[in-house]
Amino acid sequence: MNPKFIAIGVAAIIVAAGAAVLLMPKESKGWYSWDPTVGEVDYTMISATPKIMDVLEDMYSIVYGELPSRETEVPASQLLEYESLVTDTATGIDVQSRSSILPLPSTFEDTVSLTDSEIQNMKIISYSSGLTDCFVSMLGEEQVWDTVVAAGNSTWTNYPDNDMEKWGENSSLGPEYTISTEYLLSYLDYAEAKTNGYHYCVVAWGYIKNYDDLHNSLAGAGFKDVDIICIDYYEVDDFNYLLSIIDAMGRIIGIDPEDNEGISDFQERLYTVKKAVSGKETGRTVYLENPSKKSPGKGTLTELCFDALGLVNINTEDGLVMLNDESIVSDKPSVIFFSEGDTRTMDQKMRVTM
Amino acid sequence: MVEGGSEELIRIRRRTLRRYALAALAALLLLVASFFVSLVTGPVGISLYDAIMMMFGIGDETQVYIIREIRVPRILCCALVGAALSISGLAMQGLFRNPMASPSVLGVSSGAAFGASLAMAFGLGAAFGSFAVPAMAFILCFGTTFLVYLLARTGGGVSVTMLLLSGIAVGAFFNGMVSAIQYLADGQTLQSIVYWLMGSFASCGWDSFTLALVPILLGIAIIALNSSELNMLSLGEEQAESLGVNVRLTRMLLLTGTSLAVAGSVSISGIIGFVGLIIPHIFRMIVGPNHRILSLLSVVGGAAFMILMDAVARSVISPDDLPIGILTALLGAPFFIYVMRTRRSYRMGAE
Repeated sequence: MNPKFIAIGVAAIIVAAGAAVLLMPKESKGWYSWDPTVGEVDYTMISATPKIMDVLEDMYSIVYGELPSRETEVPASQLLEYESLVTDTATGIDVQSRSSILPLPSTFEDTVSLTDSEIQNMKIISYSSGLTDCFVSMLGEEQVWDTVVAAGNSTWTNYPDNDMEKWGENSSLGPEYTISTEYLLSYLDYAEAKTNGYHYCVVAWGYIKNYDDLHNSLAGAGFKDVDIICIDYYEVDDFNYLLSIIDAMGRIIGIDPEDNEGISDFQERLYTVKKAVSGKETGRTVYLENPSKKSPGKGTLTELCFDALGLVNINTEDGLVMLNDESIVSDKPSVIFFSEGDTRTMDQKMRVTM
Repeated sequence: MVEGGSEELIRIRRRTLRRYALAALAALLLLVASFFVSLVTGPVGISLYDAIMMMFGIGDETQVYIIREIRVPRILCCALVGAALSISGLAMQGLFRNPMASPSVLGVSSGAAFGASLAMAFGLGAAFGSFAVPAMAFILCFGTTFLVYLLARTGGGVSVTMLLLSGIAVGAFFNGMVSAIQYLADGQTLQSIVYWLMGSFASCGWDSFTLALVPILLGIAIIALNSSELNMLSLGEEQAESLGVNVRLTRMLLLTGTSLAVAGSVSISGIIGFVGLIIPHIFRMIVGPNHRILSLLSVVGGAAFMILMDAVARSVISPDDLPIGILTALLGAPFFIYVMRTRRSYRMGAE
C-alpha cells in the first residue's frame, strides 16, 4: 500500500471538513430570527371541499386572534356569485359532467339528465371525499349517510367510525383513485334497489381513470340506469366554482339553492372572515410550507385564502413549487404556516440549528 | 538494449506521473472553481467578494445568513455526497470487474429508499426524533449490504457473482416494498417519498453535514486505503491472491466502506443516480485504470461534479429547486456517452 495520492486526497477532505466545522455557526435561530407569526393548519383541507372554510378560520385565528361570531346576514353585494352546472328541464334537471381524462372515455356523457322521480329516490355513491364533504355540509353528519350510501375513503376525509358503521364494512372503498368496482358491486344490492325504487348516481372528480370499466361493470351487474357525474377538479380555482359544485350536488338530491345549507354556511363564514379582516392592518407577507417543503403560489386555493385574509403570498410562482430557502429568508415572511400532518419538529421546520 | 528499454520505461513512468499530477491539479482547480461558482449561484444575487466576506460573518445580516446557513452547508453536503458516490462506484466497478457496477447493484440504494419510506409513511424510527428519515435510510442502507453478503454466502465463501445476484434480488425486493408503500401512502406522504427518491440537497443544512460527515469520510478512507488491492483485484481474484492480497478481507472492507459512504450520502440527499457510474469512468478514460490515482480523482471530481449540478439545479427554475437526481441523469448521461465515444483507448481494469 503506497498511499501517497490517497493520503493527499483524504488529508484534503479532512482539512476541508475541519475548516467547514470551524466555519459552522454554533447555533442559529433560523427563521425565528425575524420573529414571524407561526402556526399550523390542516393543509389537506385547502382543497375543493367546503371544509376549506375551517382552514380559513384557523388561519384568521393564528394571524389576528379570535374570530368574531358568525355573521348570519350577508349583504347581497357581498354574496359570491356562481354559475350553475345545472339547468332545469321539463322532467327534471340536466347536470354538466366534465372529464379531464383524455381521450374521453367512450361511455362518457357530458350531460346527465335526472328526472324528478330519480332525484326523489336518489342514492349517492361518492368517489371523491371533497364531494362527500359537500353532502355533509348540506345534510349534516347524522343524516348524510341515508343519502350517500357508499363513499371513497381517503385521508382527506376522516369521518367518525360510528358514521362508517352505518354502511357496513364494505362501504369503505379505499383511496378514491384506486376504488375497486368489484368491491362496489359487492356492496350494492340490485334487488333491494329495485324493491325500494332507488336511483343510484356516482359522483366523482373528472379524473377517474376507470370510468369505462365502472360504467360497463355497473351496467353488467344490472345497474343499467346508474348515472355518473364528473366534476373537473382542476377547474376549482376559486370559491365561486366551489359554490357551483355544492349547488350541483344539492340539486341532484333535490335541494334547491335557496334551501342549500352548504351554500349559506359557506357564504356566511367567508363574509364573517372578510368583514373581520377589513378592520385589521393587512398586507403582511405570508408563506405556507407543506410536509414536502412545497409551497402553494398563484392560482391555488391557498392563495384565495390568503387574499381573503389580506395577506400577501411571497410565493409568486404558479401552482405548487418548492421555493429555495434563500428566497424565503430574503423575503422574511411575516406569517408562516405549516401543515398539521407535518412530522418534522417545529425547530426543523423553522430551520433552527443547534 | 536493456538500458534503452529501462530509459523508455522511466520516460513512460514520468509521463504517466505528469499526467496524474496534471489531472489531479485540474480536478482540484475544478473543485475550487465549482465551490465559488456555487457560492454565488442562487435566487439572491451576491457578488463573489461579498460572498467570501459573508462566509466570515461580514456584511448584510440576511445575506450572511443565506451564505453561512444555506449555501455553504449545502455546497459542503454536495461535495461530501459527490465524493462518496463517485468513489463507491469506483470500488464497485473494481470489485465486480464490471463497468456497469455502481453502489446500486448491491441493492443499498433500494434499502435506503425503503428505510426512508418507512419513516415517512409509518413514522418508523421516531426514536431518532427529527432525524428519523435519514437515520432509517442509513440503517437500512447499511443493513442491506450485510443482508446481501449473508445471502451470497455459500459453503465455499462468497463469490462475486453471488454477491451481484443477491444484490439485484434484494434491490428488487426493496423496490417492490417501496412501490407498495407509495401505493398505500396518502397524497402528502406520497409526494414526500417521490421527492426524496429524486434526490435533492434542498433540505441540507449544517445538521445534515454533521450527520453525514463521519460515515462518509470513514467510507472514503476505507476505500481509498484499499485502492492498491483494487488494482490487483482487477486482475482477477486468483491473481490477486497470488500477489498477496487477502481477497476476503479486502472485499469485506470495500463493501463496508461503500456502505458507509452510500448510507451517509442517501441519508441526507436521497437517491442520486449516475454519479457513481460516470465519474470513475470519465477519469478512467483520462488517466487509465490505476485505482490509486482514480480514488483521489473520483473523490475530487465527484465533489466538483455534484456541486456544479446542484448550482444548476438551484438556478435553472429559480426560485424553485429542481431535484438534482433529474439533472445528474439528464446532463450526466449524454456527457458520459460523448466522452465514451470520443476516447479511443479505454480500459476497465489493469489488464
